[in-house]
Amino acid sequence: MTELAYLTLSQASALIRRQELSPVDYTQALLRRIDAHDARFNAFLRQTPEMALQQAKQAEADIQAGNWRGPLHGIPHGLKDIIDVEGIPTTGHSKILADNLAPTDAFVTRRLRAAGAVLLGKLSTHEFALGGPSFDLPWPPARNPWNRDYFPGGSSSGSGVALAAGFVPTALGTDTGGSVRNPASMCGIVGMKATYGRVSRRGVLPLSYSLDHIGPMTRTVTDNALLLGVIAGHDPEDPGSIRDAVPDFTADLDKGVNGLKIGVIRRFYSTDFEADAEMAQSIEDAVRILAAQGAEIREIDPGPLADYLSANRVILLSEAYAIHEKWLQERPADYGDLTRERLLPGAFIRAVDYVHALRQREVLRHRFNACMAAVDVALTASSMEPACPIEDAELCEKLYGRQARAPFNLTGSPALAVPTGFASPGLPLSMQIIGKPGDETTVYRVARTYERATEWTSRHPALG
Amino acid sequence: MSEDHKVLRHEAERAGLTRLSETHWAQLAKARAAAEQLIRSIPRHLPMYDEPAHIFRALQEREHD
Repeated sequence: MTELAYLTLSQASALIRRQELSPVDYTQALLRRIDAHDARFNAFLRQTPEMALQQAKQAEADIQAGNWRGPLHGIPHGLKDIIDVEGIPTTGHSKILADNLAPTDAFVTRRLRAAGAVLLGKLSTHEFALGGPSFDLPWPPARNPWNRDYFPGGSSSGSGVALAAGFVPTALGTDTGGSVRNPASMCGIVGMKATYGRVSRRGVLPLSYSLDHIGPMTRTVTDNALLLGVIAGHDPEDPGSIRDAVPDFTADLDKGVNGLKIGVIRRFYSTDFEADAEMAQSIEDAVRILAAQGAEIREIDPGPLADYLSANRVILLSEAYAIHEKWLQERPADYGDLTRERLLPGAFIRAVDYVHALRQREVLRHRFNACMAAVDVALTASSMEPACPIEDAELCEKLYGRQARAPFNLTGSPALAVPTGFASPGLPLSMQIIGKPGDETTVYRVARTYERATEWTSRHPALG
Repeated sequence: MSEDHKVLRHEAERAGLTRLSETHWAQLAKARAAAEQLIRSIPRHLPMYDEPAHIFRALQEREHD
């Protein structure tokens, strides 16, 4: 079972296409694995085994009839439970939406359905993609497969956990201040926040209209590029959706980095925050590896990280409060403590503060893009530390803000979290690779070069 | 009730937060302090011609930059 559990999307897809792996057998094997282990990790809020088997049977029949649809055909996946699937509740991991049946599919769900993918279920999240880890919600928080006493990151916790645990080869998360990349970093997987507007947000519970992104989460870089290729594209019903043609994100994966210019944003993890020594060392090692592969390394300085984090926070809290105002007024006790605590500052942010933050966002976007003009991609930390003990609420809260992900929600740049090794207690380390808006392809190229030179994405936790 | 708590109650009422339980008031006080700190960190000195990041676009079909 372990062998099937850790097939990459690329491997599984090739086997399915050649009819050497039955999507039905594959789906059943993963469902059995989830049944055997997920009670300890809480990745799934709701499994959809009947739908999964029906979709797997359909995929098998289609492929046998010669109608292979593409790399996701017959491939199991999970969706963060803020993404709509017609006829299934979208709960946001919250009591408030416990019975919220989705009337239609989200854009991304529809894309995955059309690609022939197989939905295994809805995945755990922080409440409304904001408050967590929490122990006072209708469902328990997800736990880290590398050590279940540790936080798996969030808010797309279940997506990160399900991938690291070998429950699914692909999952979707969402990212407003780092919520795809944080669980990717904590769980030792690959998570992409693509360019703002690259993936439609329609049918996904909003947290912050101008900062929300939907992101592919996988165990390898190649898989991530394949999954983004399926879910990316213009959607006239998402006002933020970009019209650019979707490139082949896998096109440059094997081109190496010879001659590429990589800007290291060292200040984010050495001055603005002082990262954990093993985390910082793993990033420096990655820089050295990429230099050895032929990349030209230089340091870039987009200014203080705090500038970006503050503007992101004011915008996020203002927009989130507008979304949650009615429930906070009418049902404040139905939120988890942590979610309510994180939402309430929005009550005190005035319109003028929000407008100033939006103006500051534009200044920072220009500042960052000016820095990026001299390089092809940038590289910096994602989290400053590996995962913290999940039941140490004070430490989790303290470390939650020690991150360098939110700047790229603000600038809308593509940013990928990739594993960079393991800290001494066996918990994953990571970094981010950031591209110019619209250029996910170069980000994947650099990440794949690094991945090929290391072995981090081929390691998996023993679930016990 | 302290003067500060009265002010907080008044602010909460203005925001329509009339159903908070007693245990939520400490959270609200903390939230106000957090918001004030956050707001102080946003610069207010930008030239008036610097526009916000997402401005209104009259033409739906106009591409994002």
